[in-house]
Amino acid sequence: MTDILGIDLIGTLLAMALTVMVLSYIFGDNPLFRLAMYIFIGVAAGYAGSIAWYSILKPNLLDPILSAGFQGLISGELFADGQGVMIIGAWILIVMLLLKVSPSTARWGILPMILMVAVGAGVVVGGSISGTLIPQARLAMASLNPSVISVQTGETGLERVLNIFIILVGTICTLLYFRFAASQSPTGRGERSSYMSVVATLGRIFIAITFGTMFAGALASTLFVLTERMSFLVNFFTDILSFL
Amino acid sequence: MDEVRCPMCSKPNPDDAEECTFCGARITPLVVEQPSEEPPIEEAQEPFESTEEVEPAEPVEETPRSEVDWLSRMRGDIDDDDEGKQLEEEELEATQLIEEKAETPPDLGKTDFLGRMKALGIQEDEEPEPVIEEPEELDVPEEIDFIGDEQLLEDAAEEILPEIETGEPDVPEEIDFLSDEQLLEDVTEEIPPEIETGEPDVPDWLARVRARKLTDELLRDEELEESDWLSGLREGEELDEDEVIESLESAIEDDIISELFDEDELPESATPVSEDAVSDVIDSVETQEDIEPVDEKELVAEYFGEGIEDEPDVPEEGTGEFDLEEVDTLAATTLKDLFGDVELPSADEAIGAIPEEVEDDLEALEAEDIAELLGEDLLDDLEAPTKDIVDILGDDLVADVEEDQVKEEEVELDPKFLADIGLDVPQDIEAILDEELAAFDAELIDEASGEWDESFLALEPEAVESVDLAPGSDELLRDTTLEEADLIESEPLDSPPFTEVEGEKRAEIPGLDAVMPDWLEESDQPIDEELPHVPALILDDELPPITSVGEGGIDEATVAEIPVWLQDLREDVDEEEEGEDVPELAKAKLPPWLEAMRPIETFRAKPEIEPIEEEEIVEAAGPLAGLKGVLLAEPVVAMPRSPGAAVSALDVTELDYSKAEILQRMVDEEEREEALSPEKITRLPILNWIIAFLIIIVAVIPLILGIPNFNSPTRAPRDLSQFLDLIRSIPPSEPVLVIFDYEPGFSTEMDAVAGTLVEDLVGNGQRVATLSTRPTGPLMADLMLRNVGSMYGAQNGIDYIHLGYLPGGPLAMSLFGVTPREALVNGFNMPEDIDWETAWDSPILQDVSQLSDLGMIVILTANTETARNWVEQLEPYAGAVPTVMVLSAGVEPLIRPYFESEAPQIEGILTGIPSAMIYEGVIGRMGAATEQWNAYGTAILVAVLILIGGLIYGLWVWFFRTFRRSD
Repeated sequence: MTDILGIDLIGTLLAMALTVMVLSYIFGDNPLFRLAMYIFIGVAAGYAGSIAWYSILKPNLLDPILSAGFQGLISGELFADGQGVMIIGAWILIVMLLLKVSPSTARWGILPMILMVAVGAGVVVGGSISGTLIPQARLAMASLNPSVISVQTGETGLERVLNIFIILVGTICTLLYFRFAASQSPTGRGERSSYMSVVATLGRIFIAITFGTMFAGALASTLFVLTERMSFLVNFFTDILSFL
Repeated sequence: MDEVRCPMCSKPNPDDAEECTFCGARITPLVVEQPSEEPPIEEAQEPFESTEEVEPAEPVEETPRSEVDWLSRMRGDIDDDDEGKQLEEEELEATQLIEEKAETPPDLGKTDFLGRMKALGIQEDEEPEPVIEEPEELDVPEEIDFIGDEQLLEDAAEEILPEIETGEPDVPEEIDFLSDEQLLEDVTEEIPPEIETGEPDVPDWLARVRARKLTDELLRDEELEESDWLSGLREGEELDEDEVIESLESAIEDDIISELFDEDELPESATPVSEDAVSDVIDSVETQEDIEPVDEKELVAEYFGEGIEDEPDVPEEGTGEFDLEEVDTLAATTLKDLFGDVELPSADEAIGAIPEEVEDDLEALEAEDIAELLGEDLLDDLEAPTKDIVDILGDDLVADVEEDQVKEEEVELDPKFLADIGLDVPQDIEAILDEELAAFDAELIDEASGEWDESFLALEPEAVESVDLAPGSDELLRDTTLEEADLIESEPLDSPPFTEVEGEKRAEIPGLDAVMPDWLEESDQPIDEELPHVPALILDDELPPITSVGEGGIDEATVAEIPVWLQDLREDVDEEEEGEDVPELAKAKLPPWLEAMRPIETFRAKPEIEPIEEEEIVEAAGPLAGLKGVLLAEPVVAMPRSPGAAVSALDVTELDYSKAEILQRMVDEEEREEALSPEKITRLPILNWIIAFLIIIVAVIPLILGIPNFNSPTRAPRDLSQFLDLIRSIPPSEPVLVIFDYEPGFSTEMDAVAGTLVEDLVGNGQRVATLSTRPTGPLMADLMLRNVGSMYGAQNGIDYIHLGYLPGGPLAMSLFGVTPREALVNGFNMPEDIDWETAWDSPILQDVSQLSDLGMIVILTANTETARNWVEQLEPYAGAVPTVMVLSAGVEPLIRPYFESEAPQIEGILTGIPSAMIYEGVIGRMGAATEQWNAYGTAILVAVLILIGGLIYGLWVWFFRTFRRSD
């Protein structure tokens, strides 16, 4: 039972209003929908900024300096365990990154951007190779052995062989679909050969099935959210009607 | 080494180069091979029988440098205005002289003709021999015989000497173009053995005789004019003209050859005798012979006219008159043969023109004197095989000689003089020679001369003039040069220098037909057709049929240099012709042998020079800059011309065409006036509204009415069982790390699924630590745990703790996997009543320094990338700690491969409302999944029906359109 007389009532009204505003998108883009979007974006950004300030910046970059004080900065107490160096280095990078606000000083923000992009890319690529590409390839090959029984699915016999065949064909066709090398046709356009066209078509079918599955999951999630919002509205109006 | 300048670029090239090494232009003109099977032209047939045996001359493939020089000099002479005018003046003067001579008494003209023959010199060694009938032996340029005095000789030498620079003493300048080996061989085959054997051709004796003749004839002409020796000859016995002609031809031939060669070219033995030497020879002859002196001045005047009568350099010494007169006769007859198309006096007339002194000279000339005059060279020549002589003469000539030998009377002239001088003459040839000498009777000559004079006087002025001009080689040269000049100037002669005597007129000449031999009658065939013009550098098949080519295969005669005095003569003649309406002179026809020697390239000057002469273009570049009338080398080279090879076609593909069309379409659209588009009819999204309201209604109806009521799923998925087993296997002392990485927008689904798991964990007493890589993640975690904790009495800081927000994405994940404590120091929403500073100091995490110290890692995410990053970054550091994921329904398909493998990187997956509802059922909780199950099920059902309906509609439209297209 919603407390319609307390703070929860305001929250519930706001929630109901925002829900309706968002659902108003059924009739197309409208100010209510835009207002709801702005509210959500603004609240999310404000909340993220506050989280960043209170969770990251303030405790890691500002509080140590403030706690140590000017004396600690001069005496070197702040830099005793290396924390001070990290703090100063972090502040330098932050300031340089903030210089990208102005086009005239944006070049100074290149260094922190390079640092983040390069390190991030290296980490992502390395993780993808070691965590996804090699393990998945190895496991895919291992799964082609019909004698091995899948631990998770427990497939055996013909079912296992059929599943392996589908996996094999799907993998090959999907990979070959992304092979965009083709011979030049008389019209100057790149065209696949007939064999490659068939293979690519199969690969495209597998990709379509995958995306269809993903869409189905997303649809199910969305319908569940919808039903939850409808349940909220029903409950809200039921409570109001019962209150009245 | 000599160099040849390219006619195109004027750059020097080696003498033997055929093509310019700089511009590639051809230096030596390319003469295409003439068809050897070309039938000889009747008009140009050589009257000599032996001519038929002469092989056609080989085509001239290359033109020697001398010819180029000769041609260029000709061009230069023609192009030069001053020189052109001078040439015209000289020609006019020559014409005037001819007119004057035509007006002179007949006997004077006759003697003038004979006097001109004196210039040919004498060949004493061959005068009695009939061997001279070889027509090809008469390869004599015509400009040499008119040199009657030293001054004229010097003039001629000055003109000839510069031309002879090829170091080929045997070949005069006029035939220097025949330096080509093949052509030279052909020519040398036609040249008499004396020349062929390289007899340089002029021995000393011949030079001495010639020098003496040249000096004596000038002094004696006047005297001969006054003497009435011609009348005496008229009364004499008829002499076989053939024999006389044949005997005299050889003498003239050698004499002419001696005239051809310059002093520098001749060998030492053949060097022309100086004036003193000539005088010595003449003196010696006079002292030994009893010869009546002849007034040489009269002869000179008779021959050269008044203009030359007063030549001062004529020596005063008298010479043997026999030589001079005989040479005159020989020259007359020989030139008659040479120019068959020209009306010539009959042989009798020619012979009759020989004065009586000739007879005396012949008688007085004893063997010893002759031998002395001849010298060793002549003896060597006479020792040549007689077989060759017989061959040259031919059977017909020998037969004629034999017939004449029977008919004619014996002459007192000693025919044995050759034997006396040591010659080994065969018996038959000796007999012929005897007959020749015997026929050389003074009376016969006189008679023949008289008849010729009468017939000559009976001719029309034109014919007389022609006859007067024909025998003289100077006239031949004049006409030839005039013809060449006409060719170059492309102005045909108004009055050809020679006109043929028509048959009727010739019949009127008494005794002419009677004594006319067959070969001479053939030579009288008129040559009406002009010589064809041969353009430069044309192929065989392009060449017109050469109608005037002689048997030699080469048409036209060589072009000779025109001496100054002869040009003056011509100018005089032209002026008189214009003023007095003198009949036009017949155009001379070159003898076939001379035509054979004439290079084809001679005619190239005509088309090439003519435009240049008209335009008077001045060369603007190169070494010839500033000169007029030169070949346009630089302009021609620099002249823009179309490329030889066609430009390659563009390779235009269909794609290029399509792009061009697109570009054209774009341009057209730019130019096209944009039409006003009708107002768009906003179509209401009624279908969208229907679907949306339908889904909303079906979602609300179960909530309000409770129907439809779907049964809960009874069979749990296989992966849910494994997931539950893992949850149950977590040690209670080890905390569970729950990562809340989903946005508030997915909180409904994630809270419904993950809430059951968290409730199960908290309900089972597991300590939970949370973190998030999203700013809103800690708040979502705090809300969930606060709700669950309220149900199970869990407290913040004791039962669960929030590590907070982990910024940095994958990098922070990796850092957290390596050093969890350093990645996250501060916590989120930490309780206030705690005595520890950081979350890691909390009782929950105080024993955790790395990931392996955790009991389980649970990842709650609705994003595929986030799920994969966590798997990739934490797996190496997680060790044996099981990792499970609670995923949104849309993410699960892409993460499942990490789960369904032989070595799964994710030990369990919990996803979807059905699994959450089953999980709720397992733990005995009535959660959001159960509450929304009917609405969710109805909405899913309606959505599926809508999808199926849409699929059916799409297929129907597709089939309908396809079917309509096929129809």
